[in-house]
Amino acid sequence: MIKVEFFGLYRLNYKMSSWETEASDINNLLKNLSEYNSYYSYKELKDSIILINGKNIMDLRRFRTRLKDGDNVLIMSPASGG
Amino acid sequence: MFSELLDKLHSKKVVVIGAGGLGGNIVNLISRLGIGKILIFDGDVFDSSNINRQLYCNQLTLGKNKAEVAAEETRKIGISDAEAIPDFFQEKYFPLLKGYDCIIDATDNVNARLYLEQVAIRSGITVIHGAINAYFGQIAVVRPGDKTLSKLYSGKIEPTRETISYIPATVAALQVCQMVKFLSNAGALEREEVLLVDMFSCQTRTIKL
Repeated sequence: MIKVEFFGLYRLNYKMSSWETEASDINNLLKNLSEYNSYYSYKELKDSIILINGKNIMDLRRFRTRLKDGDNVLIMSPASGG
Repeated sequence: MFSELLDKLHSKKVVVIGAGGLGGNIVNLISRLGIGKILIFDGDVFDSSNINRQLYCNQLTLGKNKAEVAAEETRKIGISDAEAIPDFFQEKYFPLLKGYDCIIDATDNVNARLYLEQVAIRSGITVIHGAINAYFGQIAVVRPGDKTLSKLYSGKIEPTRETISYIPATVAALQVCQMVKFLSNAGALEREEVLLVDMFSCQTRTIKL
C-alpha cells in the first residue's frame, strides 16, 4: 500500500489527513484519488506540490515516478495570505 | 541566559514588509527583542474586518495606516527604533534596504511574495517568508538566489480563506524564531526547506522543495 498524506487546505476539503491506496506511479495514484474523492480533478491534482518519501517529484520522473509498497506520498498546496 | 543574544539582536536592522495579520505580530515581537532598527512598509489602512486577527487594529486605529501604527507602537515600547513607510514596497524603495540584515515577508498575495524572491537576489538580503490560509501556514528562510517561493507558487494556489487570531500569531512567532536563528547563525531552516504548520491538528512538518 502507498500512504498518502495531505497538507494545507487539502485536509479540510477532503476531510481527511491521510489515505491509503495501491498505485504503480504518481499518475495512477492521482487518477485513483480523483475517482475516490472528486473534490479535486486529476488535472488540478497535477498542479499540487507532491513529494515521495521527502523528495519532490519534479526532481524525479515527475508524474511517471514509480511507486512501491510502503512509499509515503505528501500532497499539498501553499498558503499565500498574511 | 539571553543577554548575549539580545545584545547581538540590538545591533541588527530588519525590514518588515506588510503590517497586517502576520506583520503586526512580527513587529510586536521583534520590538520586544530589541532589534536595533525596524523599517515597516504597508500602504493599507485598518478597517473593521481586520479586528479579528490584526494585532494593532482596534477602535482607535480604524482608518489609520498600518505601518504608521506599527511604528508608533514600537516607539511606545521604547527599545527599538522604528520607521514607517506608508506605502507598498516597490522599485523606488530599493535604496532604503541598504544596510539591513534581513527582510520579513508579511505580505498577503502571491505576486508580492514572488517579487520578494527577486528583491532578495537584487539586494543580497535574505527574506524570512511566512504565509497563512485558514488553519494552515508555512515558513521558509529564502537566501538570495533560492527558488523556494517560485517552487511553492508554481502550481495550484488555493483562494485565501478566512482565518482567526491565533493562526497569524503562531506563524509570525515562527518567522521571528527563524529570523533570530538566521541573524545569530544558530541553525535556521536550510535553503529551500519549508516548515509546514497545521493548527487544526496541531502538527508541523519540514519538507525540502
